[in-house]
Amino acid sequence: MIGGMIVLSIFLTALAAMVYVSQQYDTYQQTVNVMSQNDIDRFSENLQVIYPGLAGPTSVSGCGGACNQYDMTISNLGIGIEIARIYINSTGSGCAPVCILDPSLTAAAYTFKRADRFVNPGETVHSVLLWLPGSVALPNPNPPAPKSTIYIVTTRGRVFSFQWPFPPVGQALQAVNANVASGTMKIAYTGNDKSSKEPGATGGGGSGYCHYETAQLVNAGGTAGNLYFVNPWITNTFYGDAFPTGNGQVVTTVYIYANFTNVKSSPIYVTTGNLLIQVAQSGSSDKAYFVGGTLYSLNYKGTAYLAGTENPPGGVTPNTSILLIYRMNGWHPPSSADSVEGLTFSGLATITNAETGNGYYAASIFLDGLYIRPSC
Amino acid sequence: MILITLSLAAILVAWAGTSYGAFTGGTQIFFAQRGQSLQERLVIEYVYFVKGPPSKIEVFARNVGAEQIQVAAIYVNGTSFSGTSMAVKSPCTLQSNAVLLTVGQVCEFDLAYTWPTSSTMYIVAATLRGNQASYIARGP
Repeated sequence: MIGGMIVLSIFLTALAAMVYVSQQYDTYQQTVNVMSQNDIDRFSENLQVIYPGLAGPTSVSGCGGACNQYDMTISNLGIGIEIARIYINSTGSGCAPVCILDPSLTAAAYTFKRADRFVNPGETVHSVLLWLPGSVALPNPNPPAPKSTIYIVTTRGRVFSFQWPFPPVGQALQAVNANVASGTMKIAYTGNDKSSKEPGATGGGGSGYCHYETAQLVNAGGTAGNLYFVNPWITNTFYGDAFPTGNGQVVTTVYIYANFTNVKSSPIYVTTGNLLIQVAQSGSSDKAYFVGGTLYSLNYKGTAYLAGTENPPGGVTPNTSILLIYRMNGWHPPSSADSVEGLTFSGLATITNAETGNGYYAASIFLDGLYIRPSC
Repeated sequence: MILITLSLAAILVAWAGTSYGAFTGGTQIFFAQRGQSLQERLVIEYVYFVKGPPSKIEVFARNVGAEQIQVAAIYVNGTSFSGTSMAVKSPCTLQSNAVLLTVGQVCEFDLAYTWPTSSTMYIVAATLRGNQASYIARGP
C-alpha cells in the first residue's frame, strides 16, 4: 500500500513535469511557426519599379526652402509591403555621398511621403514621392546611362534596388535621344582579315570591301559629358571564297566597327572594352546565342592603334570621332544565304576611359540592328 | 520498520521532485532562450564605402525580428569591430559593449577600415544571442 503510494506520487510528479515541458515545447513551436511564417512573408515580397523609375524633379515648398520632388513609380507583385527607408547613391553629383530617406508626413529634406509607404498586394503604378533639398538634384537622366542606384528597404528586411535612369535594354529605348543608336546595321565585307579596314564615310572602303548602304542610322544626340555611339558596321572577314558561299567555307572572325564622338570637354583615352552581342538568327536555322568580343584596335585620324597601348596618344580631343573595332572571335555568321537574311544583332558594349585628371569613366553603348544580306 | 520505509519514501519523493523541478526549470530556460534567439532577425540593408580620408565603411543594420537585438560585434573580412570601434551613430547607443536595436530600428555603424579599390568585403554582424547577419559588397 505504502509502496504503491510512493510509486504513484513519483509517477504523478513525472507526469506533471512532462506536461509542463510539453507546454514549453508547444510555446516554442508556436514561436517557430510564427517566425517561419514571417520568413515566408518576407520572401513573398516582390516589388518592381516601373519605367522610367523616377520622374522629376519638380520644385515644391518645404526643406527649409524648396524641395526637389521626385515621383517614383512601383508595382507590387507580391504581398502587401511597407517601405521603411530609401537609399539613393549617385555617381558624380546628386546623392554622393548617399542620401538616406525616411518617411515624413510633409515635404522635408531627405524624406519620402509617409502615406505612400504602404503598397497593397497587386497594386500597380504606385507613386512614392521623394523629397530632396533644393540644392540636391539627381544627375540628368538624359542620356540614359545609369548614374543613380535606388535601394528600397521594406520593414520585413527585403531590399529592392534599381538603377536610374534605366540602362538601355533591347529595343525599348530606341526613341530615347541618348547614347543608343538603332536602325538597320551596315554590313561590310572584306577579302580577308588583313585587308579589313574602316569603311569610308561615303560608302567607300578597302580592297574587297562591299558595303550595303541603307538609310542613316538613328544618330544619338544629347548633352556634353558623355560618349555617343554614332553608327556601327559589321565586317565579315574570312579566308578564301566570297561570302556567303553556302558551301561550308570556314569563316574565322567578325569585326564590328563602332564610331564614337567625344562630346566631352576634355580628351578621353580608351583603355579597354568588350562587347557582348546576342545573335538572333532566323531563316532556315532559328536560334539565338551570345557572342563575346574584345576591343581589337582603334582608328583615329587615319592612324590605326592596337588595343592595349595608349589609345590614342594624346587622347580623343573633343568633337572628334574614333573608330573602335571589336573582334568577335569564335563566331561566324551562318554560311548560307538563306539563313543570313533576318539575322539580328543586339548587344551592349562597355568602354572604359581614363579621363585626364578625372579618374575612370565608363560608357555603355547599345548596338542594335538588322543584319541584311548585302546586294553585292 | 514502517518508520524507516516512510522516511526513505519521503526522501525518494523529495529527490524525485527536486530532480523533476530542476529538469523543468532548465527546460523552461532552454526553450525561452531558444525562443528569443529564434525571434531575432537582423539584416544588413545597405553598405556605403567612404573613400575618405579617413576611409570607412558605413553599415546600416535593421532589426526586423520580434525581439530586441544586441549587436556585439561586426566583422569585415575577418577584422573585428566591437565596443566603441563599431562607432554606432546616434540615436543608437552603445550599452555594455553592445548596440541595442529595438524592433524595427535601424542603426548605422561607421567602421574605420581602409578598403582596397574594387575589393570584395564580407561583412558579418553578430548578436549577443549568437545570430548573424551577413552581407557581401564590392568596394567602388
